[in-house]
Amino acid sequence: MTSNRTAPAEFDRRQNRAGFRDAVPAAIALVVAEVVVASLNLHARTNRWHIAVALIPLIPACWLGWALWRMLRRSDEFQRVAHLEALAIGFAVAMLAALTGGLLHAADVGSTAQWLQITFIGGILAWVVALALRLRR
Amino acid sequence: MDNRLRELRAIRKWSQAELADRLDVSRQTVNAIETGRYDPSLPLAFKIADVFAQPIESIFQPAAQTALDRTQLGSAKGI
Repeated sequence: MTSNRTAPAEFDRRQNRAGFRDAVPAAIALVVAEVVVASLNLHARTNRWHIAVALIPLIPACWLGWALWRMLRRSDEFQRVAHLEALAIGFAVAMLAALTGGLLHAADVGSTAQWLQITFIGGILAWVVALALRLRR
Repeated sequence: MDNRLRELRAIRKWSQAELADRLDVSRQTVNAIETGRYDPSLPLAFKIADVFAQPIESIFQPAAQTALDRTQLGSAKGI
């Protein structure tokens, strides 16, 4: 009798370790940057450097993007296909949400900031759900 | 595409993780191939054939081919 539910393969362990090492510091840095910029109101227009300060969270966001790229490079062929399909679905959802937001904003429903957040969160959610469904065991 | 991965793995009493280690892929990939959710690339199919020491065509068959074999087997048995 073969077992399907055993310890993870060495490939999975190696990948999990590397993914954790790459992504967790970047995610923490992103949260910290967002909180610091938002809570200290550093991006208020009174500040001379408000545009530069407002864009500070982009640095850890790019770091996170780099971690994602490394994760894709480490993936095996099935995982890479699954990741790319999930990213495509997330992108399609984000595009659709952006279009919907634009149309509704033109009809004076919601604000730009709200629609941007909905687009961002919707895209990420669709991506994560699609990936989980594709990689289910 | 149909494959005999699960059957060959069962004969050798390997877990999916053990087979994944031998192929240097994730357990998810072995599972996806076994359940027919993913057809491996040619290099991986050759690696699988190498691990099981069998010709590639004895492990992987087109779905239609398998159906045809079953039909022919049924005719031979007079079913």
